[in-house]
Parts: sequence; structure tokens; C-alpha cells
Amino acid sequence: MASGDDAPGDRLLTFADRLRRSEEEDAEREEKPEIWVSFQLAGRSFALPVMHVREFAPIDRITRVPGAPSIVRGVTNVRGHAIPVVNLRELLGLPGQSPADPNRILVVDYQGRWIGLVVDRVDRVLTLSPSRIQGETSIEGLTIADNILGCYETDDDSLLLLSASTFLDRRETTG
Amino acid sequence: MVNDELKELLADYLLECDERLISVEQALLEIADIPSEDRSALLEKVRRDLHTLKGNSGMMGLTDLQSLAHRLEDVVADLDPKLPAIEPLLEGVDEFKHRLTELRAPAAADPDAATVSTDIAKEASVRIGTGDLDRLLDLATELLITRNRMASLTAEALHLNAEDPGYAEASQQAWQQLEEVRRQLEKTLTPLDSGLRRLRMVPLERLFSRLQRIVHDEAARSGKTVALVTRGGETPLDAALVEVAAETLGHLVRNAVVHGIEQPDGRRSADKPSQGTVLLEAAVRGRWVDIEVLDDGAGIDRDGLREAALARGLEMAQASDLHTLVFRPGLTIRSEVDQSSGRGVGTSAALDAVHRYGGTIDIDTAPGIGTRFLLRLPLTVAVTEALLLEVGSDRYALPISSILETTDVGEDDLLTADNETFLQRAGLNIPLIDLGSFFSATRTSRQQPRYAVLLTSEGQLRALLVDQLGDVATIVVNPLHPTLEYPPGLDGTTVLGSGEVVMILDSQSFGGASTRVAS
Repeated sequence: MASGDDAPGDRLLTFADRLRRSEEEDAEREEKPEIWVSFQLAGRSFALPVMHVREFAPIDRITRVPGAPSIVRGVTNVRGHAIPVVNLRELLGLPGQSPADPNRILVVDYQGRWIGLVVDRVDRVLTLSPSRIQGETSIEGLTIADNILGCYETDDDSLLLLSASTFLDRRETTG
Repeated sequence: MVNDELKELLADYLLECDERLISVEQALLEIADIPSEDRSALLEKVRRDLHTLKGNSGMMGLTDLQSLAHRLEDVVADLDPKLPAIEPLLEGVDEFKHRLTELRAPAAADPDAATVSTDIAKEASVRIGTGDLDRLLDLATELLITRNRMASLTAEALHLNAEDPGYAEASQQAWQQLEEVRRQLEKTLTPLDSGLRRLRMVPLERLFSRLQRIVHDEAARSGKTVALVTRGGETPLDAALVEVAAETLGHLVRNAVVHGIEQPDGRRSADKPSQGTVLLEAAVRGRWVDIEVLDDGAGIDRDGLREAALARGLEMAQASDLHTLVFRPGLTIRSEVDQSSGRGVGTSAALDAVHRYGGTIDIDTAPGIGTRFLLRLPLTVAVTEALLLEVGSDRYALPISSILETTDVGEDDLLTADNETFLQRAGLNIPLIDLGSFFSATRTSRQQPRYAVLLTSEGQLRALLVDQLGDVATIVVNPLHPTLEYPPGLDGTTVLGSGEVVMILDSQSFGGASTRVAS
């Protein structure tokens, strides 16, 4: 087997450096989300950045986590991972109730951590122009202001933009 | 008896064959890269290995393998050190390996055998130094001594009569002595456990040599020249992970050669050396083993993959994710499926196995520069035996190591006093915790608590009341999701073979909970 000190190895080191540099550029690009996934919840349209949405995954059975906050629906198996499932409707303080037995969940991937969100329906993937995102939003009767990144008016819809860190950065969740 | 000895002999033979064959294969793959004057010595080593293989096979009465080794020996003797033609020898090695596989399991032609390799139950062999073994034997001897002391203590305790004066004092003393024995047990078990875990570590080097062969074969097949550079071969890997790692790295390395590295003329026109390079670099980082697979090829064509995915109807959200694109079966790895049909599991299944053990794979790619895969596996696998318990419609896993005893429970065995319920057993009143009320389970009229599991929790004897006792399963322990806080009583999650997620009980959190029992 070739040893670590020969020419191809050194060549590859520079290659690895270049690759890492281009990763950093990638990361910078990802700072500006433009492609979003929209979904329905309690009759409103919401959207999450596509880079934080893994998939709309089919699930089998959700295992109850006794004593967990009521917004935590339980844990389920997505591709071998045991991931928590959260009722987004209740988390955002929206009226009505999440379905008791969702058969698909929106899997959000934030910094390698996965979480499943129960939503009513996933709509589509769309490109938003960052300059048209309105920062200030107040929606009457909802306790969701803290979770909303901004608002976006499309031709036929009004989208509330969410940030993935909303669900995964907080250490505690209230039920 | 004779049969067992034969089996043992065969196991030894197979293990030695594996090592000799790896050594032969490695030497053959190396030979083209070293100066021709050094080649004779290496060929001599190959010849010696083959000679041993011949002798051992003869002793086992495996005449076909004996003559195969003999034939290969002749080929080596006739080899021209200036221009060694190694392909026929590699084919011979493959034939040898194939025969060994048949010897291991006569039904190895069975297609299901291919999926076995990522199974948790897969047996792997490790070699143990006698020094290590002696230390472990000493610990086992200590356990036996402790067991004997415990036996005499319990015998004494059983003869105590509640009517005797001084009973309270005597039983108190008996408990204290038993507690001492328990401490002694822990003092022995901890080094025994960590010693055994260390034995399960295998240097990655062994795995790297298997990958060397894949690179050689795939490069030859696709008309490319590719060098495999490895670093960190001394990095230890839990033996339980060797098959998962081998399977996954096999896919990644094959993928790098087949799809990453360009044809020699393509590389030259891109101002790259005509020989492509794949770098395997392993290192321990914290509680993880990181294995990087880097290639200096063309990079992954995201747009091409995305189009292919969309043509197959993958949802757009998924199609934008490189990870899904690469690991969805049938997208990038078609050629590999052709070549190795029936061997190994698909990329997607390999990824699932990595996840099951708590590992991850990351991908980064830069067009024209190359691709980097990072396989991250836990340094030690937390695999444990657990008893599955049913409470209402929920199931839980309780690690066997914390269980003293299981027993069925009738009305007569229970005693309620001061709002607490006790299980009466061997003259003791053991605080009883109904797991159903502890976890607010919903029970139907047909689901009744019928069994108790006795355990020590923070040094206190406790009984857990459950509805049903299930199977004992080997489970991989995953930590709880760090973002969400979970209540006491739970220690992690595991994914059962059926795909069901089950919460693992924390045996140490029932110490003070005896009052939570519904009467």
C-alpha cells in the first residue's frame, strides 16, 4: 500500500484545501436563502428554506414519549434515525388540532440534527426574491410572531416565512 | 464432542486463510509500485504464504484448495520480476476466497446472505493477545469468588427468622454485607467490561486492504489509473462496525473510481496528472471515528443528478439535496450494480445501517476539483441486551444488566400501606412502581399489570409493574434528541429490527419514585 508521504498524497492535500475553500464559499451562498418549500397549516401558507428541508417523509408508527411537552408528538423512524415529531400547529399557537395519525412528516435538517414537523399539506418549491421579504409582521390572534422570519406576497398567496433554527435552536419547548 | 473440535479446527483454519490471503493480495497489489530489484523479496513472501495455505488445506483434507495453492505457487515461481502479471494470481486468490465462503456456510449462494453483512448479529473474528486474555480471566475468577461470597450471604439471610429477637439487626447487617458484595461486583465488572470492549477494536488497516483491491479492479475495468493513498490505518474501529464500514466504504471508493476520477486523457486536458488519486484518511475525533474518502476527480454533477432524479419523479425538495441524490438507489450507482450483482447491499441500505449505529455520511463536492465523503462512526458502539416490556399500548426496552429478576404478580403479592404499594417477596416489602401510571399509559380493560421486574435503582431495590414481558433483543442505544427535553425514566431510543422506535428505560431513575403508584 502506498505510504502517506508520497507525491499523490501531497497533491491531494492541496486538493483537499481547495475543496474546503470551495465549501466555505458554498456556506456563504447558503446564508442567503432563495429557494423555499411552502406548506399549509390551519388554512395559512408557510415556507421553510429548501436547504433545511430534507424531505416529506412517509412514516409508519409514532412512539409516544411519556411526559414530553404536548407539542412533541413522539419519536419515529426516518431512514434508520429515531427523530422527534413535533406538532407545528400547536408550536405556533395556531387554532385547531394536528391530525392524530399523520402518515407523512416534513423532515427539517438543521446543522445535522433532524426533526419531523406535522403539517397539513406540502405545496411546492418556489424561488423568492430576498429583497421582497418583508421583515415586520404582526398577525392578529397568533402567538407566532417570534417564529416568523418575515412575510412574502406572491401573486396569489401570502407566505409566512419560518426559520429552521426556530425548532432546533431552542433548548426548551413549552407545551 | 468430536464435531465441536472439528468446527474449532475449521474456524482456526479459515481465520488463518483470511490473513494469508489478505497478505498475498496486498503484496500483489503493491508489486507494480516498487522498484523491480525489491520485487523478488516480496514474491518470496507471497510464495511462503501460498505454501502455508497449501499445507493447511492439506491438513484439513481440502485437496482442491491444496492443489489450487500449489498451482498458484507455480505461477509465482514463473513470474517475471521485471514485468509481473498479477491478474491470474488475483483471480486465483478470488477462487480461494470463494471456496472458503462455501466452507463457512454451505448455503452461501442464497441471495439473502448478501444482506446479512449489515446485520447486528453478524459474527466477526478478532485476534486476542494472551496477556489481555489472562487479565480478563483474572477478572472472571474474581467474579466467581464474589459469587461464592454472595451465595453464602444469601444462605445466611434465608435462615434468619422474623420471630427471633435481634432479627432486625441481623437482617440489617445482611443487607449491608450484600451491598458490599455489590460494590465488589461493580469494581470487577467495570474493568471487565472496558477490557472486553477494547478487544473488540480492530485497526482500520485491515479494511483498507480490502478497499485497495476494489480500487485496483474498478480502475482496471474502466481503463483508468488510480492510486489509493491511505492514512491513519492504525485508527481503531469497533468490531461491530467493521462490516458496516467495509460495505459503506466499498461503495464510496467504487463510486470515486467509477464516477469521480476521469479518463486519463480527460484528466490531462484538465491539467491534472493522468493518474487519479483517492485518499482514505481516518482519525479519532472525540467519541467519533471519522473516515474521509477524497478523490481528485470531476466532482459530482449536481444538475445532471437533479435532472435524472426529476425524470424519475423525485420531489423537487428532495432533488435539491445532494445527499438524497447520491444515496437514492439506482441514480449514481447503476454500473456498480451491474458489476457486483448479488454481492453486498445497496448504497441506500448501507446508509441505513450507518444511521442505525448512530453514524452519518456527509458529502461535499467541487466541480473539476473533486469530491469528499465523510463517514462518521461512533468510536464504541453502545450495543446492549434489553428486555422488551409492554405497558398499555406502549413498549419499552430495559437493559438486562439492571434486572435482578422477573416475576408474575397476583393480588396476594401486593401490600398497600401509607399510600405506597409494595411487592412482598422473600419476606421483603419492595417498593412497587406501576410503569403504567408512571408514564400515564392508557390501558384497555384487557391490559392488566401482571408482571414485576426487580431492579436496583440508585442502590435501592425496586419493582416495576408491567403488563407483558417481551423478547430479549440486542439493541443499539441512541442518545435522546438533544434539542428536546425528556422526562425522567428515559435514557434513549432504539430502532428495532421491525423499524419501530422504542424508548429505553433509565433504570437509575426509579429510586425515589415509589409514591407515584396508583392504588
